[in-house]
Amino acid sequence: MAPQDLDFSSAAGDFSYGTDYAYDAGSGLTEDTVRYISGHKEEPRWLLEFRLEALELFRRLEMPDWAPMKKSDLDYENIRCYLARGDGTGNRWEDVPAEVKETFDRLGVPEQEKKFLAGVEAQFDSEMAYANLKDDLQRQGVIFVSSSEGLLRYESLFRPYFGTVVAAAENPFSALNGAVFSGGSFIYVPPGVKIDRPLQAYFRINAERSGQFERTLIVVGENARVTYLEGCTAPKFETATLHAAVVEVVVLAGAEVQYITVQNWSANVYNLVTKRALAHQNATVRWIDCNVGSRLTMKYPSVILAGEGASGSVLSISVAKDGQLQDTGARMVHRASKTHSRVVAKSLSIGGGSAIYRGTISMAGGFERCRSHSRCDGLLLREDSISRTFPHMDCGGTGNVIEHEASVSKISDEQLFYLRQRGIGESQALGLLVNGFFDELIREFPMEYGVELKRLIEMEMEKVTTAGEVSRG
Amino acid sequence: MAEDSGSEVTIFLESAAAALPAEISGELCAVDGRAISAEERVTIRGHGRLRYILHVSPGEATGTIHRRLRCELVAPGASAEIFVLLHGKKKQRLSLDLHLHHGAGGTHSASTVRAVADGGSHLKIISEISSAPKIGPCSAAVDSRNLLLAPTARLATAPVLSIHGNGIACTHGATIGGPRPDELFYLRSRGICEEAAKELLCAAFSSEILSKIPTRLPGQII
Repeated sequence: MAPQDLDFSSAAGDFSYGTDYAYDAGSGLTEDTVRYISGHKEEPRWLLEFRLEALELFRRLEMPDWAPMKKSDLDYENIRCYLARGDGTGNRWEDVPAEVKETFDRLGVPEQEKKFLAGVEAQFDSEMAYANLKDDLQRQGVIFVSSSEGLLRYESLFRPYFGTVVAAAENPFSALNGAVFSGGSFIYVPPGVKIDRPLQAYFRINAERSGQFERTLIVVGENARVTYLEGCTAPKFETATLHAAVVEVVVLAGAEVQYITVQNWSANVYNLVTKRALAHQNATVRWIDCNVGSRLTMKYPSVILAGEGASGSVLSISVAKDGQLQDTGARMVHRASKTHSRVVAKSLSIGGGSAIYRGTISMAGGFERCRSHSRCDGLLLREDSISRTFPHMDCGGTGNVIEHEASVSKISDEQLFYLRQRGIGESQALGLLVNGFFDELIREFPMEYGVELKRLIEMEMEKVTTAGEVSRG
Repeated sequence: MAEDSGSEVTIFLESAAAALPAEISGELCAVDGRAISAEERVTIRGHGRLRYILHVSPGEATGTIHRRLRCELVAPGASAEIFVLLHGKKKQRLSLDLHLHHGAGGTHSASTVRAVADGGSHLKIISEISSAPKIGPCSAAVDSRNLLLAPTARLATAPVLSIHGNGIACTHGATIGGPRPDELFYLRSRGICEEAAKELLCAAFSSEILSKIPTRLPGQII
């Protein structure tokens, strides 16, 4: 795939088309809102009860003391929790309504599907507009549908895992998601099936004053393998938009999952996401998390290493520009012997941007020979840029090892001078140095995404030098 | 009360009533061996230099000890070197909250923390480096290594960096783990029993901090 087919720049998603919504739960968050969503989806009674209980939890729960925002910072009375055109989910692009298709055409989704994906879902506001999976995978028993469809058509596979990895009571936004969730993916990979090409979901917020609350559940059978990509954009509005997703991944013995997120929301989006995987014996989970957009992101992908020999890793890149706060990190909970985890997080703070790393590594007593290594590096470009790291490590047991290293630095004058005296312009030199800083991580990304991320960083450096935003001590 | 060794003044803090000076503008070496809870705050002014060696080892005593130290480096040339050794046994609960704040450019700090958790002890170490916005070049480093000697012991560490602006170069390293199996094997293969081998390794681990303690002279004890 040619690199130019992907575009992560902030302008890429900043457009919208007027859309008529046949189903609108209205502004605000009440029991009626929840009943409207559940009724429209014709959900079973147990799920309505789950939603109502989650709504109660949302009302009671507060954000933790360390959070960079309060629950009351958002005006929930002014957010529309459910918007759907009512066209259903098409499995051919020709069946997708014209303006929805045009949106995804502009974002390059159909092109990506043709070239390197095994399946695609495209969510437009609250519901999936398009979902398709290659025939050969369908024949092998792979399921890749919206979570609503997963619940209705595959309840025996869906229900035993739903809500078991992320509890609604965990934080206010997991509760909110539990109350009003709609959309998201349900993936089931049967035992032994190894999917070589990625499955991709694309999330698009189109309407102003709206919230997107997708819920993704991935169940990977024993010795199976899957890679899941998710991307997201929204047009930039004056009012705040809320994205509060929940992702649960269940990885059974010997299975492998790679979950890649490229978050490029516009600068008015509050991106408050809870993501967690449960890894059974000898299972492998890898989160690749790239955050370049949003006003505020709070996201800490985590892995519960519940089976002996399980391993988990989080590779995280975040870029915080003026007015942005990227509060990201990772959690690794070792709950069995011989489990391994690895966290590598790199952040770039440009202008007045603020990047925070929060990490938790937990190895309770009673387990043996667990290992964890985490590393976080921050790069600051200006004297009012901010970088913070809050790692927490807790270790008991015998033969367990936790290692952590962190650094915060600026662009070295010597490196910049070296490049400039060889005739390289300032923005190009900065781009080279920043890409060098991220290179170790970008090399672990799928090639198409790595190339485009590098290009995005070069573009940002051009803007920085044009605005004179680099200060040197 | 204090002995001048060259330009550096050395003091030994031993009584419960003793305390670090609230402000430092010269060169001070403070050796603190008090196994008590205490909360202290030190401001280091221009060209002031603090070398602080803290050794908390309550021996056979039980209970909780909480130490908190905040050092503020407020003028160019100020520097702090902090060495800490915590040694917990039995059901002891030891915690350290160390905060170095760089309020001006041209300041430097380096902290070395070693903790040993044995028996059923629980140790918690928070080490924070922060900087004021828009300050000139300065540097800070924390090196924290923590040794777990018993399966029922527990160690938690939270190395926090809170950096505003691109003036400060800052690094942090932390590890938690037991004695290395190859080192234990080396000693055991030479006829040393496991318990003695662990004690030897623990002594070697602690010596990095203990070797920093200068010779005590009469009149230096507070």
